Amino acid sequence: MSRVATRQYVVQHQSPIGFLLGALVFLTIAFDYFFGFGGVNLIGLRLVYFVLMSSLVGYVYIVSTQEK
Amino acid sequence: MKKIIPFVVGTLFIGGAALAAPLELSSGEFGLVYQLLSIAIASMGASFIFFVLGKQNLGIKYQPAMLVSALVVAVACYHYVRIFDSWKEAYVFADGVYKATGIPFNDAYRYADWVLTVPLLLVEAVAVLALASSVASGMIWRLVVAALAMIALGYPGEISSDTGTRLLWGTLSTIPFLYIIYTLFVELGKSLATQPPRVQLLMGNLRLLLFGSWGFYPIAYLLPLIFGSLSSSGIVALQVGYSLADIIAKAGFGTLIYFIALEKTKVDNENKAKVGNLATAGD
Repeated sequence: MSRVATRQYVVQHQSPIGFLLGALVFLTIAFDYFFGFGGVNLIGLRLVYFVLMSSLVGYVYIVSTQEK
Repeated sequence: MKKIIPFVVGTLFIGGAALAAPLELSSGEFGLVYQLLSIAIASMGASFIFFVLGKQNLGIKYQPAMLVSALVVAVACYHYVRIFDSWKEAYVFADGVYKATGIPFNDAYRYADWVLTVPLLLVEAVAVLALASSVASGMIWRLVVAALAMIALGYPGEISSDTGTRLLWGTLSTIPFLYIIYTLFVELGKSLATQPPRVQLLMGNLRLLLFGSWGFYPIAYLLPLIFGSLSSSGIVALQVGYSLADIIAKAGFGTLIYFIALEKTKVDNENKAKVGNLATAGD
């Protein structure tokens, strides 16, 4: 999928993708609460958060700069 | 830039031992942190409900900024619950004072939280203005890298009890912070000229709130140097400072974002109505 097509897809499916990203964040929290991520230093959790943060920034960037 | 990014990302994932809890805390010291952590949990939880419900009042372009605000406070709420639990486990009341149980107080959740929430808060501030992609794209990614650099450079100092190390990393961490302030006040300031007057006013308040609350973090970071890093006053001052700054920077910031988005939605609807009226008059 080309960059433009990906962008269009995200814009057209803004709500479900936003819901999916939100659900992933809550799933991460639930996993951390019940099973734990990466011990005392939470390195695993920081890594997962880094990935989630990058995805959310990409999503917000695409959606909030549409039509321009 | 290509050399900085791997260094920043690498520093984000370094480990470090949790600081040992001070041996004794007075009832007032323990209670102050206990109450502030409780207030932080309540503030974040209430903000989450407000942001989720408020999202429906906004235009579709501005809803992602509100979604991010809701996620930021939800994640912060969970982390405060964990920090609160760790605080309770670290001390036990005996002989009129709170004595360390031997379980270290672990507030590593704060840094994990900031990896996710700090870049998102900055992105929200740009996203809510719905700027042209040519203006917004460079700004968003530079703010994200600067935010990550600020967190990554602060962490080695945070886990160290050595004054020199703490000062060195604290100073290095201030450089990206100043860059963020420059971008928000100078670069974003140029884009504000085209925004409605009330949005300009609210955005001015948002930048001041961000400067005030984020400027408080380095002060809190340095407090243990003044009181002694492992002293009871040092630990209490650090926790109180970070909790207060978090409440303002997340719940307060998100609320301002909501009002900016609401104003932008109102202006968009008015413009649409004007276009509709012109089209009807033309027929």
